[in-house]
Amino acid sequence: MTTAQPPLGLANAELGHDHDPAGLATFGFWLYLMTDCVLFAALFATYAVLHQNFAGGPTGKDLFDIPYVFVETLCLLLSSTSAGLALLAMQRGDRARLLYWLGLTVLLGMGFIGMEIHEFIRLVDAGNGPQRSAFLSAFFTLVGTHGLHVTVGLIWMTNMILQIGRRGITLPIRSRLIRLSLFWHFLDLIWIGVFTLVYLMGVRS
Amino acid sequence: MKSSAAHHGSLRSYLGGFSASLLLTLASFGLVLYGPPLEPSLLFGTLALLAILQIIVQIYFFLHVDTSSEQLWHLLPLLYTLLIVILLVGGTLWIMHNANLHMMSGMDP
Repeated sequence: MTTAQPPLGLANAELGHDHDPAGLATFGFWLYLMTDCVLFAALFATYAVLHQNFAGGPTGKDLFDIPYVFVETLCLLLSSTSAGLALLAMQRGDRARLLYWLGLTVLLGMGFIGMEIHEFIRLVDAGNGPQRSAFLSAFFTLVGTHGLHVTVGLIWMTNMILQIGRRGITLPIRSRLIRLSLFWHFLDLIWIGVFTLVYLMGVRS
Repeated sequence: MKSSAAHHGSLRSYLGGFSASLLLTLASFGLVLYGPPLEPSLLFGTLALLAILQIIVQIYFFLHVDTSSEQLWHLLPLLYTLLIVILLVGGTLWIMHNANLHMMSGMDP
């Protein structure tokens, strides 16, 4: 019989101590990610309802470049993997490798967001901005919200690189990196829904 | 600490997750770019299945959520959120489909 039950039955080793703010913070951040899921669900639902309302304008078939989106997808998947490898380096206390993998993650993330911004500019320049049709409004809202999340993740990650450079792998920094990696993996997860529903199904419907 | 290591994964889990995700991504894009001209419902069903599989792969290998007792408090909110997402998306599509059906019926030639 264990006498010291962790709070809320949080039997995680992270949370198993009587007083473990890092584990509880991870759990709290996890709950935030779940609410973000619901936000994206609402945007996916909006897109699904409006995806045929072209208002006489271009369709997904006219606008989407699938090989281009494949490269974007690859960037994000690789960056999600390198974020995981960064966390492993953090566990080993290997500061050089941690900085290397985080730097690579930022570069790949910037590649992704750069390609997305380029795609948006190309669309708007051709007169196919969010005001063109309900389909494009929903498209820009869904894809743009995801892109905004990625941008916030990049700012966060750059900030973490600076913090590690200044202070090394301290306990608060570990705790932040765990949450950052959850956030980053989560964004790759949402992207699976985006490239499947918006792009792949968009060019075939 | 065994469960701590499980929580942050291992090289094997990240590389496994990456390989499986890459294969599923290639399958999805390959099907659309080079695949046979399938019926839309069959194509969309296959794409949705591949996406769901990849989401499960990444939840398991990247987010390290599984059915172990250490992960129970990450799994339960996730399952609850899944229920909300299904209700939200499914309910929206169902209602709007019915609305369209009834609004359009008067406009048919």
